[in-house]
Order: sequence, then structure tokens, then C-alpha cells
Amino acid sequence: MPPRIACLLVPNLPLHAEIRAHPDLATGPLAVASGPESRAEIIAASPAARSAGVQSTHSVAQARAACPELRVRVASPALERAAREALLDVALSLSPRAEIAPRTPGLFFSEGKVFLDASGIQGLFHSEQGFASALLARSEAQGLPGLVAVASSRSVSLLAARHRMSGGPPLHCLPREAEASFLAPLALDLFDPDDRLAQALTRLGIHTVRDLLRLPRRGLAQRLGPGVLALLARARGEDADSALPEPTSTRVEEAIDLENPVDHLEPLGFILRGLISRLCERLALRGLACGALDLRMRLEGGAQDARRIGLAAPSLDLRVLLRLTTLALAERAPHAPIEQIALGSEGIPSRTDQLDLFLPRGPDPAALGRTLTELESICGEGRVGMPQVLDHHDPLGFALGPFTPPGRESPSPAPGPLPAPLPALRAIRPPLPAEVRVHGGKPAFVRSAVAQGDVVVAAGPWRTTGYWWSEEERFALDHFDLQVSDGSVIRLGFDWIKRSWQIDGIYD
Amino acid sequence: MPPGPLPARAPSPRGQTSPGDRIQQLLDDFGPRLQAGEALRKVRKQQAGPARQASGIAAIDELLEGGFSRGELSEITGPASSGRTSLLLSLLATTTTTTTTGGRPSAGGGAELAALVDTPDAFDPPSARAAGVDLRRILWARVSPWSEAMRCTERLLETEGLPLVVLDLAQSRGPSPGARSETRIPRSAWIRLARRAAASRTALVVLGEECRAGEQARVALELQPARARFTGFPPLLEEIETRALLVRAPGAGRHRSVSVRLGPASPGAKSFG
Repeated sequence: MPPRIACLLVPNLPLHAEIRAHPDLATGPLAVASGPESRAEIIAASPAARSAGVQSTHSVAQARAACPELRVRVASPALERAAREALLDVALSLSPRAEIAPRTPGLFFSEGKVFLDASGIQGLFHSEQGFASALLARSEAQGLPGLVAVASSRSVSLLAARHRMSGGPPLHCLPREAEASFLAPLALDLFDPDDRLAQALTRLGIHTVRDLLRLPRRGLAQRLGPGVLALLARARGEDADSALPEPTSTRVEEAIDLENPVDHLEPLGFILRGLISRLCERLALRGLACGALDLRMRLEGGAQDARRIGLAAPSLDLRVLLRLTTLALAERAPHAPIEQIALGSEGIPSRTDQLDLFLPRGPDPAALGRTLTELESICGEGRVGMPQVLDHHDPLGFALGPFTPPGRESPSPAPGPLPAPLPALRAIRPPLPAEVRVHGGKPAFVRSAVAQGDVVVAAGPWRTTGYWWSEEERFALDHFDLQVSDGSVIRLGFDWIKRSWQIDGIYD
Repeated sequence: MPPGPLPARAPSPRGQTSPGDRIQQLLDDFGPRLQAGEALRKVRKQQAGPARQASGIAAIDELLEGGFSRGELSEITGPASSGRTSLLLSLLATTTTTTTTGGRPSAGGGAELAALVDTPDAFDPPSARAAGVDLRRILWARVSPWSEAMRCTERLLETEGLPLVVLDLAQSRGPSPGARSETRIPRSAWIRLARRAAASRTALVVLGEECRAGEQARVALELQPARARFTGFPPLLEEIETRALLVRAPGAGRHRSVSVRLGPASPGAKSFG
């Protein structure tokens, strides 16, 4: 089956990248300039600005003179890169193979484009037209309105999409047999030849594909330069590019350059909300969830601040992710105003669960993941998870691991009858200091916030020591189980390192 | 119409009546019973009682008529060393381990997840493991103060498929100045939790020194410490004896009490495998 390639093309990408990040700019005349100074060149203008007389060749001062209510934004490479990558995510939501087309320096430098494999899509979309419509709708939902063309090669699909820039419906599905007749009348400018070649062709009166294909091939490269052979191949609809690749990375990043440095958490919250929202939308397009957030900030003066915000489970919950991010920033605020902020995440597939016929259904893994993330945002990092018993003798030691419950088919660790209910220990963390009177080597009286009175029965001591080689972790404890006259049954320890008595648990 | 015995009908040879007549004949035969809804009533009666989450302590389960109700809020109260935590761990063990019947997992029994919202940070994993709890199925949230604990509990109750959520509000470090006012939880918060538990069919068990949920708790079990038994020489803590009093329960079960011994020799621990 001959390959079919779709091209999703967004003209004026810098403009749409700005509107995507600042939706309030969608109304009214807007232009994007190459720099902050008044002589900077306008590189993209909205239809409202163009109808008011703003042109791409204008300087900012000229544009403002033509349209006094014009809002001018300085082009943000970070926003543009994110928008370009968002196009790839849109493409990958509908096709397994897609690639971002490199940015061209010439006439079409402000366009963003992505190629995707459209072979064999009839089973899903019935027609190429349906596929192109879906692609266009998803792109528009991401704030990137564009044009879609489907053809048998990258170059033809790109030309067909560019051809639609001048007018007509935004979709164009070109059958293979109609490509030659479609290409023939096209102006060579759509191929964006380099300046030298364009001048040479103009001198010779060659303006369309048809004119170019009429030229004798002998000695053509010697007369017009080697670039003409590539142009000829593209004019014939031949594609020299390699096959479209499958993506290997699931990393997604959104970034924004701030026009005015931000040094307060409150305005930063609005910016973060937008970043996280766009990040989640892109991950959702690829059927992934956010694994952990990497927050990078460029501060005034050039310093960098990077931090990683771990999540208990993959999540796409905007509210929870925003809360975790603001908590992380509130905990350790950046030491200088922020100039640029970038938020990245490795996309992780959501958890799935195999149901069992004989056992009740457990929580949906995705819902459980959302709950875990939200719990962590309430309790704090490292305070939600699965309890673990450490493999050493420290009686106070425990760990909290990530909550990844086993499947229902996984048996209990020690199958057999459940042990009879035992007097369980209720831990006191950190241990509570106690005043103790000793008689005959054993505690005889205890005074503390949890127990006070004469010791009725004392069992012990049991000595545990460990980690003698580590100054921070070493422990040496003598433990007693005591029944105190006030009715409480406690675990009292003598810490040989601190040389003090402490209660670290109540039998309850 | 009261259901009665099926009327005897003369057998009619196949082919002599039309399908429409046969359907009419069946409706005549079974109609009264169908309209009376006998079978439906029987099924509804079976489903009327809430599902129970057994505690694993026979005497307590008997007192609670099978265990803690799913979809309802229950309270376990009592002072320190009254056996609240031992009861809790036994409940967690029966929830998280697989119950078997004839070598096969019994329907609706065990290997399920349970969540523990631990306000005093008092959960002791080694004790839980010794009590038979499958720690891999415990979601432990260490959270304070109580307002955040209530949020956590509410969020957990919104997650369908968790049969048991435990909210531990018992103080572990003794009374502190202002502690009483800190733990005075508004009634509206309990109403919300009880409604969420009912919606998600989750057994919500609250642990504390005294009843806090008021009438929102369908069952309140008060544990009163009786004595601790040390045996042998040198002495070893063998068991804690406690008295479980049902201070709140639907129906006639109120004010009944049982004596429970929490120790290796305690009778009536259910067998799971």
C-alpha cells in the first residue's frame, strides 16, 4: 500500500503560541515582534491587526502608527517550542508515527508544521477527510488552528497545506493520481527556494511547477546550482525523506518567558495554572499521566532554580498538581524574581487492573492514583503510602513506601490461620520523655504525659543495639513492658546514647 | 392479590393452541405470583441488611451481629490500653488477607484494600504484621491536624472500591493544653463523612477516646480496660483483658457487653487461609 502522509500546518505559530498561553489576547489586534525595541520587526500579526494595516515587514513603531490599539508581544522561544511540541502531541493522538518538521529560515519561517502517517486510517475514520477533520479539531482544541493536507509524500502534503493558506477550506485530501495536475500550476514560491535560486528562476521567467518541469535536465545543476535538483524532485512529488519515526520520548514540557519578573507566589499561581493545564492536556492527548513534575526557573541575574516534585501516583488532576507545585514553592521560595519558568514531566501510562470473578472489585487504579496524589498534597511528601517493616532490629524503625497494592491473585505473605489478636503497640513518635524511679534495677515509678504512677508489673529489660558504626543512626535501648497503677500498659525504654528514659509505645 | 397454589390445568396437546394462547395460559398460571413479587421481596430482604466487615474477634463480631457495617460510620472508643488498637489491627487483618472456603477464595471475602488515616501517627507496622495484616494492602496516611485528617478521610471515601477506611483520632501523647478544643469536630463534618460512607458502601471506623460523631455513628463500641496479664518468670506481657460495651446500636443491641481477651490464648479467632 502506498504511504499516505498528512501535514498539519499552523501559519503564524508565534502568534498562536502567545494566544495559547494568554487567551485574553485572542480578542483585539495583536502582533508579535522580534524584540522589545521599537525598531524590532513584526513577525506575525492577527487578522484584526492585518485588517488595520499592520504588515509583517513593519517595525513596531510603524505598526503602532498604523493601529494605535495594537498589542505587541515579544516573541517567546519557550512558548513557540512548547506550541511546536504540542502539535506533535496532537499528531500522536491520532497516528503512531509523527515528526516535527524543522523550522525553515525563509518565507515560511513563522509556520509550525508536523507530518504524520495517515496510512490505513480508513478503518478508524472511514475516510481521509474524516481523519483530517479530527486532526484539525484536536489542533484547534489546543489553541492551534491550522490547515491539514493529506498526500502521498511530505513535500506534496506540505505544498497542499500551504496552498490552502491563501484561502479555501482548511482540509485538502489529494489522491495520488491527482497530485501531478495539482502541482503543475503551483507557484514555485510555495517551495520556498533559497534566494539565489529564486532570483535565477525569476530571471528565466520560470514561475510555476509546470515551467520548471519543462526545462531540459541536462546541465541544469551547472546553470542554476545544485539546489534546483532537490526542487525538481519536490516538484515531481518525489519524497527523499526517510520514513516517519515512532516517538521514543514521552517527556512533555511547557515553558513561558515572563515579560515582567514575578516575585510573589500569588501571581505565580495563575501562571502555573496555565502551564499545568497545558501540560495535562498534552499528556492526555497521548493517553499518559504526569509522573513527577520538574520545575525549572530562571531567576533575575541569571541564576537557575530547579526542583523535582514527586507524585504518589500518576495524575492529571490540575487542582492537585497545582497545589503540590505551590506547596513546593511556598516551602522554599526562589531567592530572586522569576524571569522564565518551565514545567516538565515524563508521561507515564495510567495503571490498569485485572478484575477477578470471585473477588470484589477494588478501586479503579486511575481513581486510586488521583486519590493518592491528592492525599499527598494534603499530608505532605512522603507521608502517604504503604507501611513497611525494616529488616533490622531498631524497635522504632519503619518505612513508608509507594502504595502499589498487589493484585487480588497475589496471596497473603503468610498463608495460614490468622494469629489470635495480640496486645498491639500504639507507637509514640517521637518518644515521650519520662521521669522514672528505679528500684532493684527495674523501674518502680513512672511520670509522663501518658502514664503516671507506681509500676505494678515490669517485664524486661530487653536490650537492642545496632548501627554502632554510624554516628547518626546508632541505637542502644533497654526496653521494659510495664503495667502502671493508673491502668496503662506502656513500653518504656532507656536510651543508652542519650542516657534518658522515654516511652515509645502504649499497649492498646 | 395473595399468592396461592398453582391452579391445576388440563394438559393440552402441543399444536392445538396458538402461541398467544400459551402465553396467556402462562400468565394466568404465574400472574398472581409475579404481581405479588414474592421472589423480589425475598431478594430484597436478603439485601436489606448492610454487608459486614468482620473484626476477626468472635465475641466482638457476635456483639456487632457480624462486624462493622459497610456504608456506615462506626466508632471504637476507650482509654489507653483498652484494646482499641488490637481490635483495629484484627479488623485490618481480616480485611487484607484472603479468606478461603474449601481451598478457594470465598466470595466477597478478604484480600481487599484498607485505608488508615492516622492523626496521632501511632500505627506500628511491626505490630500490624504480627497481627496478620497484609501491609501491602494498607494505605497509610500520616496526617495532622484533624481538619486535614477529615479532608483525607472524605477523599478516601470518594474513592469507590475501598471497603474499609479507619480514622484514628485517639491521642497517643496524652492530654495537651487545648487538645479538647482542637478535636471538637463540627457536626457537619461528621454528617458529610457518614453520607460519603453510605454512598461508597465503605465501612468507616473512627477510633478515639470518646464518642465524637454523635448520632452520625450507627454503632459505638466502648472498650473498658479490665486488666493486663503478665505470666511466667521473668514475667512477660501475655494478654490484655477488656470489656466491650455497645453504647450505640440500631435495634435492641444497645448496652450489651462482652468480655474480650486479647492475647495468644484468646478464644474464637477466626481461621483464615
